[in-house]
Amino acid sequence: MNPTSPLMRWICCIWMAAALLLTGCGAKSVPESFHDPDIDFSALRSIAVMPLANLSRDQQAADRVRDTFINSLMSTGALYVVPPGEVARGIARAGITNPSSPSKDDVTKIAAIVQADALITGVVREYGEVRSGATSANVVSVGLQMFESSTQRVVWTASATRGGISMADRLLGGGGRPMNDVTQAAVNDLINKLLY
Amino acid sequence: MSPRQQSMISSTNSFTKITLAGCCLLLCIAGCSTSGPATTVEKVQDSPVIAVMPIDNLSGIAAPLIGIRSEIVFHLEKSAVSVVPDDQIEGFIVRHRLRYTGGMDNETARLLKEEIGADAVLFTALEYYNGQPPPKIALSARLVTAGDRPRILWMDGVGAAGDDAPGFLELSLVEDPDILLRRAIFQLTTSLVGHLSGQHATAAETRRTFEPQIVFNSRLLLPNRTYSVVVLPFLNLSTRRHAGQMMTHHFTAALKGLANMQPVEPGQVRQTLLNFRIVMQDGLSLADATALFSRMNVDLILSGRVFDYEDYQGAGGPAKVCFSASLIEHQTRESAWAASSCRDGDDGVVVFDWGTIRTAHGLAAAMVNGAVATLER
Repeated sequence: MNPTSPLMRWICCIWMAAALLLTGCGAKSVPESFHDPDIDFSALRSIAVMPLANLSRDQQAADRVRDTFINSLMSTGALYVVPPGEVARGIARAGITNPSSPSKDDVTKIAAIVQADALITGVVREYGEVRSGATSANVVSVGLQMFESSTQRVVWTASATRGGISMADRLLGGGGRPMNDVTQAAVNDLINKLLY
Repeated sequence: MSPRQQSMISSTNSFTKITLAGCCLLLCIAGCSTSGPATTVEKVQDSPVIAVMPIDNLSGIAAPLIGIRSEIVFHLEKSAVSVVPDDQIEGFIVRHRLRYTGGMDNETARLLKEEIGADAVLFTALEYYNGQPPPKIALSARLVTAGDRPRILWMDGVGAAGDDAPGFLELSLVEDPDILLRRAIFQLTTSLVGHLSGQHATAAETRRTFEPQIVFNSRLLLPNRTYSVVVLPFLNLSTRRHAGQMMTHHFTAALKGLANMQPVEPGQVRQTLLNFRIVMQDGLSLADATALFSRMNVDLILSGRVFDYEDYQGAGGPAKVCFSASLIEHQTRESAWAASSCRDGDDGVVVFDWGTIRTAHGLAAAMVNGAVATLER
């Protein structure tokens, strides 16, 4: 058979396409969380959630996400979360200027004051409405990390993004899901990555 | 009479009957949706002497406060409730330089009993007043014993909007704020008079509840024990002025409705916070909680944050409320219960606007009732 014949060219094209498809199926997605394998997470009993950094336009986004995260984490019954007022007192007493990204010394100081086994810090990257053409929907994107108090090491990190414009939003409109539902979904995702 | 004439008369009678039946049906439909006050007045036997304090204006705008107070006094007197004369209350306020009329501490309660002979004091707060059509009004009130240790006897609230029940072709739409105000006051005073008569009535015709989205219950609270609770003013992160204080009223009223909870009079709490100079910048710290537990001798402290407390502006729309609350227990100094709830007034509404809650007051009351109900589980 002549290798330059049209039939051979078609066969080659089909093989190449199949190979590309198979390669795509086998690609591994980038993991969105990290667990330190040397840490026994079941030994952590009490944690403090520090104020989150806010990179969104909504001034209350960090407070809202933090509040939802604290109550959701407590509702699992797996961990006790230090009340936010006590954390605020700890921050003031330790003299921490940037509580959303504490240094190792800061972690030690505040953990001793509020008696927490671990500290959670984080950032709200997006919170609010996104638009694409005539379509809009709510989106939230949060990243968290946990410091162990005794070693001051980062033992867990995770991020979650929920909401955004779906195909159904583009076709049917409607403005997406309410902001609270989206926030709750993102927080549940983070808690699943922490506990399970 | 010819058969043709008989037939015409018969058809005319049928037409008249159909028209009358149609009119009756329309009137019935319109009547069904009205929420006008009933006209029967209940008389209270052996009424305590009640001092009606000036209205605490939390609405942030000018409102007919004197008229609201007069209407409340009128309704109470009509129900044979003994009310302290206005000049005595004014004299007391001037004599003691009383500036805060939204509650009372122990000292004021004792003086009210001794000087003007009041058995109980009625505190009323105007939470919202919007005269633009459709008007919206929200009121809350509580009756507190005068004397050595003030105790909340009754607490209720009412949120009303002119388009709560517009009825068929909007025949029952209320556009006059005075009418709406009178209806709201009537509902509130009827609830109070019902309580004084030994009935357990509430101002709201239907008590809807909204379950909180997140609930934490540590099971530290025992169902067969009675707890005294301090409800602190909520940290207000909303755009609505005094929303933190309004949430305090909602939680106090809801906790009062539970058999095993005894909320402390908010005026006492306020005075203690002032005396100890406790300023909660980002919620209650455990050091402040310890000070409050020791000073007020209570079992639980409830604190929280309110993120949204919005009444819609303009022709229509739902209200919006979002809050979180937590309860700290005396012995363990740990959170015994926490809840987060965020709702819109049209949540759960399937067909048209049926069931939409038009005022933030009504929505918050339903949400707080739902949250507090989880304490009993």
